[in-house]
Amino acid sequence: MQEKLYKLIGDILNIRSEDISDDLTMREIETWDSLKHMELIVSIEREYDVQLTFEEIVQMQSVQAIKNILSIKA
Amino acid sequence: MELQGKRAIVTGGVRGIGKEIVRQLMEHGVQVAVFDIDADGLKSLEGEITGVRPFECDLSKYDHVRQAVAECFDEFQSLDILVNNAGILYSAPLLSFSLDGLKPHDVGMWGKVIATNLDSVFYMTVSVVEKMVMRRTKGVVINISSISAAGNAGQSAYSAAKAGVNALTATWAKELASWGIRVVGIAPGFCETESTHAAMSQAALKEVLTEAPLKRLGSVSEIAEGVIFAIRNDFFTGKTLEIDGGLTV
Repeated sequence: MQEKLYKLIGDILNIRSEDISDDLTMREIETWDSLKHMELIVSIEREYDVQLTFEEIVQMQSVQAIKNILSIKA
Repeated sequence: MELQGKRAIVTGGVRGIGKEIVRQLMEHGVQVAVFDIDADGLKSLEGEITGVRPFECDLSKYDHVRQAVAECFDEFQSLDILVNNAGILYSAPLLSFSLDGLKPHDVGMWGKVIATNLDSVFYMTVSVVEKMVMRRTKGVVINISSISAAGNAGQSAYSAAKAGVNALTATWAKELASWGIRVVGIAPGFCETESTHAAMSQAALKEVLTEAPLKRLGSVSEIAEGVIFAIRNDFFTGKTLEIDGGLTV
């Protein structure tokens, strides 16, 4: 799951997979703004075949948070 | 989008194009709330169209809009369609000649037209879309614009407001697509409404119609049919559809 997720995040945010870690947060990445966040969410929903609630979308502001939510839903 | 069972807000739905939009939406099984400043008009509308839900609201005031939208959501619990139709038509050149000399466009009317035609669209959309997003509703926003958005001599405020509405349509379509929300504009040409006849002299209308390929005013029904199409078509977003008898061709 990690490799697939890191690649997805890297592709959307235009950063290398090697530079992604679970600690990475929205605040630290300039390209990770509100519009990009929604792009990320739409890709995650499509790739993992899940439907996220608004509350989950708001929570997913770090790689770790994304992993936590996906581990429950996917 | 299938219309049956959906919930909509139509602003300025008491008369003209807005009223016909309300009627056609309800014919298709949509539950409709009408937001309008005209309390008497809302009462008449309730008598004419069974089941319509009226909300008195000054759409040019943000706090009024927030309050009315919150009340509407308390009742409807969800919202699928927003039709930003409210607006006022006002015609005055930038400078006109009077017996006293040159008279500039009334600044108060400039502000009022911008507030009613443009600010209201922003206030309604931000308030309603917030609710759609929180519920992950895949909704649609229809902005009623005008062919005057391209610039119409004698309509500084109205043209500027409608051009602004077109820009908001395009901007929001890009921003909200990821949320599953479409944003579409409908730009009527000259239509058979009270406001058209109030804003334009018979002579001016006659001159305009000689230019139009179809040589007639549009009906409110023809415009409302365009709104129904825009709501139904899930591949249509970001664009403003001109329904004008070919006037702008």
